[in-house]
Amino acid sequence: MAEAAIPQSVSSPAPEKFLPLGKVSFFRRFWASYSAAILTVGAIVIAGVLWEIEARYIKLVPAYLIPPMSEILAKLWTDTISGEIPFQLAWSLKNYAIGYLIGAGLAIPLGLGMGTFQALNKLLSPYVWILYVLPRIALLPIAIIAMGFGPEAKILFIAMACFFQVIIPTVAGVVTVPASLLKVGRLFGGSRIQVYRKVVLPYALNFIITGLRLAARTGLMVMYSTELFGSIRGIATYSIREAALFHTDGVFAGLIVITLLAVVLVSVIDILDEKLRPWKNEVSF
Amino acid sequence: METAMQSTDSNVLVPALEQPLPPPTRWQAFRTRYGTLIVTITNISLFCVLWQILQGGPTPVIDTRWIPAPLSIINAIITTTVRGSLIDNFVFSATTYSLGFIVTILLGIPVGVFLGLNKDVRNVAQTFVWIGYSTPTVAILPILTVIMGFGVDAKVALVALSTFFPVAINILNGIATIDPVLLKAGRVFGANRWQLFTKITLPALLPWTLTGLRIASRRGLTAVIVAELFGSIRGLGFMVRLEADRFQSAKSYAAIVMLCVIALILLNGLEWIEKKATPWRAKPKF
Repeated sequence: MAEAAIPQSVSSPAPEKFLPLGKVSFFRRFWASYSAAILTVGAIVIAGVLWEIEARYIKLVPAYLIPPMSEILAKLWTDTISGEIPFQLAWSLKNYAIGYLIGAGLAIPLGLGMGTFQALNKLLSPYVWILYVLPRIALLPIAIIAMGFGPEAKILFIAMACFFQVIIPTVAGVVTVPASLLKVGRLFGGSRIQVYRKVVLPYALNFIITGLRLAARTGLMVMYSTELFGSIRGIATYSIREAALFHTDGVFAGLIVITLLAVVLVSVIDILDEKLRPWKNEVSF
Repeated sequence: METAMQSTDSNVLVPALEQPLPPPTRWQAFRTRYGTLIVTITNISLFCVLWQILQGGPTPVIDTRWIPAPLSIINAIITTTVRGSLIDNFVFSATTYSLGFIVTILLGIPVGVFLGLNKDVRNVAQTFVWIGYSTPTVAILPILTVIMGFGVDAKVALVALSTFFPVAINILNGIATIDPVLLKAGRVFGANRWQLFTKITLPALLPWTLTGLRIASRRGLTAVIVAELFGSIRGLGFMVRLEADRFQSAKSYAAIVMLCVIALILLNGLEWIEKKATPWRAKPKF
């Protein structure tokens, strides 16, 4: 309606801003393509330099609390070379991977089942909701007393976090398939199974992938916070130990490792998602 | 489409494609109104009874130190409420949480809007906010504890930090995706920069901010609990840990039930506010 009201015949001369590409100066083109990357890298470098200056000369916060950036990077380097950080990180990541696989592996079939069968949905959804809303981390002390400081409790919590992050979008995906699509499928002579395979599953796939993405991020957070409380090994344990020894450079080194890990993981997933699923429409949570 | 199909034109001798439904009988009306509720309540009650039978008897299936029977949890809730420990710890946690959240609302939202206004500043800020959003914020807890100690301020700082990033990332996204046509239309109608900001940018940001706050409320709750588990002398998280260490797990479940209630109220309350404040936005419920 609104579009129809706009007269289509009016043709204005192109505004001067949109010159053909050849006439734009090299610098402008360069800036247009890379400004975000340049500004980001520049900002990170400047932040690091300011940190260094603050810790060495200004000292708003005593240097034993926030050490200079160079010392943090040096500590990061030595501990990586000595194998300490990779060793701890590998232990954490193993739990993370196992937990993620268990959680997502259970959530997808169960979610599809709950979305498809009304009765199952009615039976299980109250529990899924309660456990989803409950801040599950509060159960950690009991789980640790029951299971010990080993990997079992961590895997359980990572699996739970991933499970709920995946199952809720999965159910929502199956339930919210537009009725018109289902009708079209039936109209064109698809059997129930065919409609399910060719309409419902591709539609729900979007939601499932969104859930898997969210789970990757949440699982990482849970991995860290479960280790924080008490653990035999792990990257968070490394940070805690360094903090207890007042080696704040080690704490910041651990923080850098976990930040890098999260950023790399999330961006790899996002890029893969972009490449493999170009048709996606954003499902926001 | 749907309405066009349903309309029955008496002059045309074509039957309506879809007959209007007959008015519901009293039983049907009752079922549509209360059916789900009744099924859910029956479902949960049966589950609790089963749980009580399995765990409450002399030979529980799982050690009652890990999973106590529901009646003993209710008993523990009553005892701890009467003695006051549940209420005390609740007040402490709620204060910490609200202080952190207020810091985010008062400082975080303006900072987010301010960072978003210029395109280049926004690009840089987006990266930092995105890094902050992707990393587990609780990773800063050891540093905060070393700097600020085991008092309230470290916990408030942690809550503020973990709630800031979801809010900020949503605001920055919101500013980046404002429809440029709206801004141009504003300019055409003679709005100055301030008017553009107050009449177009801010209303467009409202739903984004509310979504950010909803996500932040969950993260903030987790942050409070982790901070109290990790090092604290009061609070619900501390209570869970203390009672678990004393093998009085019914009492720690009492605290967990309390946390669950808080989470439910928070989440539903924020969802309700979101619905009331942005009625034009029909959101699918997840």
